[in-house]
Formats: sequence, structure tokens, C-alpha cells
Amino acid sequence: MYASKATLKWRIRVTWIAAAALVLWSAAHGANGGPPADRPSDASPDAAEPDDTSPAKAAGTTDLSDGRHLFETQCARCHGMHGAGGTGANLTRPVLRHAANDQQLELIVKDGIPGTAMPGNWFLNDQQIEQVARYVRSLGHAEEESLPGDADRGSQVFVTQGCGKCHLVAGQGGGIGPDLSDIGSQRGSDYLRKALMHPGTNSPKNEAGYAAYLVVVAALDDGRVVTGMRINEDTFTIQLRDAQNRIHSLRKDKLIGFRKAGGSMMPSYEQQLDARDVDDLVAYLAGLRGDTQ
Amino acid sequence: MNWLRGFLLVATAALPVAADAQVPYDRLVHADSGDANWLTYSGSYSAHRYSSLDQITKQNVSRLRTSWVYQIRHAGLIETTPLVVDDVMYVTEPPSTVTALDVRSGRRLWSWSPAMPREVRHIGFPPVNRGVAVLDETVFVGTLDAHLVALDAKSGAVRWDVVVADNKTGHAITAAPLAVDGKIIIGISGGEAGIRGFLDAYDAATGQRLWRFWTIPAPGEPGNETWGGESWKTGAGPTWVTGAYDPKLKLLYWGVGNPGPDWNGDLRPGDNLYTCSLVALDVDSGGLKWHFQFTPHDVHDWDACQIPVLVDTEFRGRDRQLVVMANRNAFYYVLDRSTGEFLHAAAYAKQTWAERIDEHGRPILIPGMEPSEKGTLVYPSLQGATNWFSPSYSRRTKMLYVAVRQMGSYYFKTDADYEPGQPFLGGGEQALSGDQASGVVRALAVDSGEKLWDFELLSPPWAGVLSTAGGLVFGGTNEGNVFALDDQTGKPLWQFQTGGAVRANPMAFAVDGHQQIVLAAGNAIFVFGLPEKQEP
Repeated sequence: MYASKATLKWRIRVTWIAAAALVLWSAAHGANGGPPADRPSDASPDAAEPDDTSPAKAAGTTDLSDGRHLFETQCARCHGMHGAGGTGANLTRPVLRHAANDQQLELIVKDGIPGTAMPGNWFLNDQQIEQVARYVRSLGHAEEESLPGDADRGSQVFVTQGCGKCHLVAGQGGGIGPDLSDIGSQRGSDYLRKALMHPGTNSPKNEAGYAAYLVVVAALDDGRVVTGMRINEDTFTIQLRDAQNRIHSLRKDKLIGFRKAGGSMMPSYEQQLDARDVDDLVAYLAGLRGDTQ
Repeated sequence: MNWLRGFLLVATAALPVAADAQVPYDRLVHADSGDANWLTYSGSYSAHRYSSLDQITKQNVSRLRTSWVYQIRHAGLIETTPLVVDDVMYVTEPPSTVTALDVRSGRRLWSWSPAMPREVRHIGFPPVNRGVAVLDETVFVGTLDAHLVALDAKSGAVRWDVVVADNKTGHAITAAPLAVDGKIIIGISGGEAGIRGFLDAYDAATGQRLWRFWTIPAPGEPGNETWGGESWKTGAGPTWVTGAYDPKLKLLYWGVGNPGPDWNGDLRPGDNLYTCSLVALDVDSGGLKWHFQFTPHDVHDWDACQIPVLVDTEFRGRDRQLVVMANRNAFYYVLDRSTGEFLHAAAYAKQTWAERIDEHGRPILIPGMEPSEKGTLVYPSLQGATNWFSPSYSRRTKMLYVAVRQMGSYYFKTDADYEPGQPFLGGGEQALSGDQASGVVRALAVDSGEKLWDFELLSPPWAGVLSTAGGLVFGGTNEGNVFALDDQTGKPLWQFQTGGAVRANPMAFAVDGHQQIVLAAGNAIFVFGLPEKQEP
């Protein structure tokens, strides 16, 4: 039974799928038309994707367009359309922290990164994984983004605004908010700017896909109200960290009110900083690559 | 000779431990009557996952505590439903190890592991096993590399080992077998590898194959006309969740999985029988008595590999023999189980793909809900409104309890190449996760599917439920909670944090007159019971 399966080799392009479906349908109903295995692999050129008719394609090799296409549908939601980062890491760098070489990068695309929000992509085949990885690698050859701000001055803004009360940089500062020592590797400048102006609108996610710094307001049955960031939660309990970095362990059946407020414990700097301060602060943060001492 | 008599007396007194682990077919037929054992995957042929034990009640469940814990030897996902036969528990550990445990102490009696090739294929699912079957003095297990193996129940020694299918082509076994009169029924996995699915019966004594029902009909067979061209050859239709059995009608009821490739339906025009269907098969011949297709031409991977539950009850004023299923596609179905007649369907979970189910049981589709290149948001997600984990039917309340996933997904469509032993998918999904998704344990009226109560879960569950004569419903969460609910109201009465995700079905048994509840979590199997003495 399976000997015949081995001879099957289907390659049907999405771009002529509708036509193929008609052919198949006709075949199923006794009209002329062979099974899909009889069809050539590139039955018609695709005007919408000129890359597909390139010599490289015709020669049986692939260029970056397949990888880009997969990236834009599967990866861009977190990594940004151009790979500059969002809730997922900024990939426009020659060296990726978790992927020192191509093999590691392909493994990450396939299996994800345990302990992070990066999921595995089990439904991509080996060729598609290789295409995505090659495209991601190509992002690292993009020219370094040129930012308008002054990073040195931005470091002063960071100090004067008291950012270090909540954030660590190179081991110095507070541990309430995210450690920013490597934030420039993880996030693009657009993301950093939005995080300063509208904190909490595009919060990073944890491994299970939950917003990592979600603000929760809980009213206890003894009259107290606790506002804090969710550390963890299950069906019966929730653990919060308040602005004083105190941890609260709460049983949901003891709460008389419970609200996932969204937003962020971090204040918005939209009114507090002028445009130059913001540019400078973004330049400073974008330059934090885990090697600042 | 007195000393010898004394020795014999002591020996006799100690012997009841697994002295006679015989499970003749007749004992399986009457497993429903509720002794201290749990003899089949779903607890009974009618697949109720209901325990007649009533020692643990709404009043005392708050005192439940761990009796013992068994840690598996190699970390992995545990989806096993343990069986308990005369004071011995048979569990499976990932990927395909069978272990016998002493139910009093939790200590291992024997363990058997197959010689598994390093490159064993399990395409589209993790390396798991859901449990064993027992018949007479033999334990049966399907392995990840698609063997069916018979083990001596006392020692774990291999009686026979047959190859069900070639693992190199993506065939695998994760389901627990079902033992019937002299036969072992086993389903196959490989729905994401473009297999041609089947359900097999083997002679329990010899391992000889007695029949094979192909879930995808060949040319010349009824149903093949629902497959365009040669697409039937890679049509999938796996049978990876254990079915139910009616010993009076001598019919097996088995859910059939998705068509292949999963998300690109253009390659397989037609209804694609018998994918996403329930089939009723004659147990002696494997012949098809009837079929019912829930999701014709499925493009969302909503296979029908859920538990068909056999219920005898009044339906629209008439006593009827029913089979009901809360399907992965978010609809609840009621069928006549002797004829396959469609009687009723109703959405039991959020869905955005069908306007309704028509009078013949066929969905009226909402246009534009197919997977697309850019992604199409549809409820439920690829993993469905429910999945392989079991529902429970309580004969006490006449309610069907279902662990429901409330999650949507962006479905993508891509090319699909068939290559033997490779994923054959044609797309994928990006699910709405985190706070955008949730779950419930939902109580449905068994005749109508009407919602009677909900117990909300933080996240879409991967654990089944058990109802008991003590008036309780047990379940578990991804976050590690094992819980007990009031079967009438859904009110939580007890919970325990196990520290690892629950991804298995609960079951119950009794030892020395003490009822126990069992549920795997993380890398361990937890056994819970009431304190034997009143604690101060």
C-alpha cells in the first residue's frame, strides 16, 4: 500500500490552487484532467510575486522571498514586519543572542525558546524552516538604524527621571520593572518610543502568552485594595507585585472584586519629556546591548 | 506441621494482592456496575468516565489529600489514564513505557519499555501515550513507533509484539487500545503525515490481525467519490482516541480524524469521507454499519477524535439508545447509535464558522472562514472547543461534563508537498493565547446540549473530567490545579496545586475500601484519598 505513496510527489503552488481544485473536482467527477501528481510544479507565473519567476526560482533554488513571505505571516506579529522587534526580539542584528549560528537559528524557528514567548513552529517543514532562518539571518545584514538622539544625554535623562528606581541597567537600579541592560538587543526604537509614551499598550508576553506586566486591581474581603503587576495566576489564586515591590498572594474566592486593568505600572512620559529628551532616551536605551558596565 | 499450616495461612492472607488478575471479557462488559477497579480507558464500554464509588462526597471532599505520588523516570508529558485491576495499577509513561504499581504503596512492581528507534516519528503531536487495555491476564499497549504489544500482567514479559504500521511513514500510536471479546482494537496516529488511516482488530491471544477498517475508502468503495483525484491516498483520517463499544449491538464507535493536508483543502475536493466522522463498525468483521460526518471537507483540523459517549435515556418522549459527542468543531451531537440517525445538534462553545447545523446534521457554513495566506480568525482554534481529553457522563445527574477550550486562531494556508514521513499540512495557526483565551468545565443536558452550569478556568484545558456517585466532578488545569466541583452547580469544593500542568484524564478506584482519585500532573501521577483516620 505504501509503495505507491512513495511515488507521490505533489508540488502545487498556492497561486494556481483554484485552478487545480477545478481540475481535481473535474477528475473526481469523470471529466478529463489528471491527478495533481501529473501537474508541473510551476504551472503559471505569479504576477503578484515577481520573485517567483526569477532565474533562481526556475533553477530549483529559492531566494529570500519564500522566507520573507513566511516571516510576514508567521513571525511579524511579534517581531515586527521588518523584524525590528515588537513584543518579540529585534532581529535586525548580525548576532542574535540565542542563535550563534544557522543551525541554532533553525532549531529556534522549529522548536521555539523554552521559558520565553517564542513558540515552536511544528507545522513548518524543514525547507520552510530553512527559508525563514535564512531570511532572519538576512535581516542582520541590514544597516544599523540611525537614531536622531544623543545616547550620552539620554543616559542623563534616564537618571534625572528616576528610571533606575524600577529598572536595572548593568546590575544597578531597582527590580520592579524589566531589566533594561540588554533592551536594545531585544526591542527596536519604535517599540521603545511607544513604551515611553504609552506604556502597557504592547506589553511583552511570557511563555504562556500572558502579558508579563499586567496591572490587576484586587479588592479583598477585609476592605483592602491591592493594585499590582501580575506575577502569576491560576484558576484559584493570583500573585501580585505592588509598586513597593511587595508580593501579594491572593485567593480568588476571598476577593470581593478583581479586575485586570491593563495598562502599566509605569507612568507615561508623553507629557513629562520634550521631544529631544525622548529622542535621547530612546537612543540611550537602543544602545543598551548587554555589554554596558 | 503446625508451622507449615501457619505459613500457608499467612501466605493465603497476603495473596489477594494480584493473586488473580484475570479480566475476562464478561468483567469488562459489566465494568459499569462499579466495583473498586477501573478496567478500561474510559471506565466502561459506554465511555462514561463515571465512578460508582461514593465515599468521597461534597461534604468530605475538602479533606482530600495525597495518598501517594509516582514520579515517572524520564521527564515528559503524561496523558495516561491508569487502569486498576485487583490492587495493581497499570500506567503508561512517555513515550511508551508500561509500569505496574502496587496501589497501596505506589511502589513499582514491574516496568517495560520498548526498544524505540532514536529517530521515531511523531509528526504533529508530542511523544505521549494514553494508557493500556487489559484482557484476561494480559496488558496491551500501542507504542509510538506503531507496534501493538501484549505483556504478561504479572511480570511485564512480552507475549507478542506486532508491527501495526511503518513508523517511517509517520504512523504512530498514542491511543489506549480497547479490549473486547478476544480482540484488541487499536487506532493509529499520523493525521499530519498524510497517512491513509485505519482501525485494526488483533487476536488477543496471538497478535494476528483479524480485520482492518480503512477510514479512507479506496476506488470502487462507497465514499471514494468524496475525494478528488488521487487525494484519498494521503487522506489521513487517523483514529488516535479510544472509542466506545456496545456489547449488545456488537458495534464499535470510533471517531475519525482530520483529512490531509490539514489546512489546504484545495488539494482534496469533496466531503472527504470518513474524516471528521463517527463510524459504527461490526466488531466481528470490521464492516461499516453506519457513519456520520460532523465536518465535511474540514480545513481547520477539527478531527472527530473525541470520546463517543453511549447513553440510554429518554429523548423527545421516547426511550432511545444514543451516542453523543461534544465535537472539536464546537457542536454537540446526538445520534441514534443503532442506526446512526441524526437527532440533534447545538453549539456548546464559541464558534464562528457555521450558521447552524441543518436537519440532516450538515453544517451551513459562514463564508470566508477558510484558512488564508494572510490568516483568517476563526473560533474555535485548531485544537478545537474540546480535544482528546475525556468528557464525563453522570448517571446521577444526566449531565455531560465537558472541558471546553475558549480560544480563537488565525488559520493560514500554504502549499503542501506530500513526502512519506514528513509533515503534510498546508498551513498552520497562530492562536490567541494568554488573556485572550480561557476555558470552562461545562455541564450540558445530555439530550439537548443545553448549558446547565460553567466553572471557569484560567486557560483552555488539556485535561479531561471524571464524575462520581459522590456528587463530584474532578478535573485539572494547565497551571497545575486538581479540583473537585459540585456536580449539580459547578461550585468548587476542593483544589490542590500539583506544581505541574495537568494534561490527562482523572479516574477513580478503591483499595481496602478507600476510594482514591487519580490524575497525572507534571511528571507525576497523583493519587488522592480521604485520611483513613479522623485527624485531630
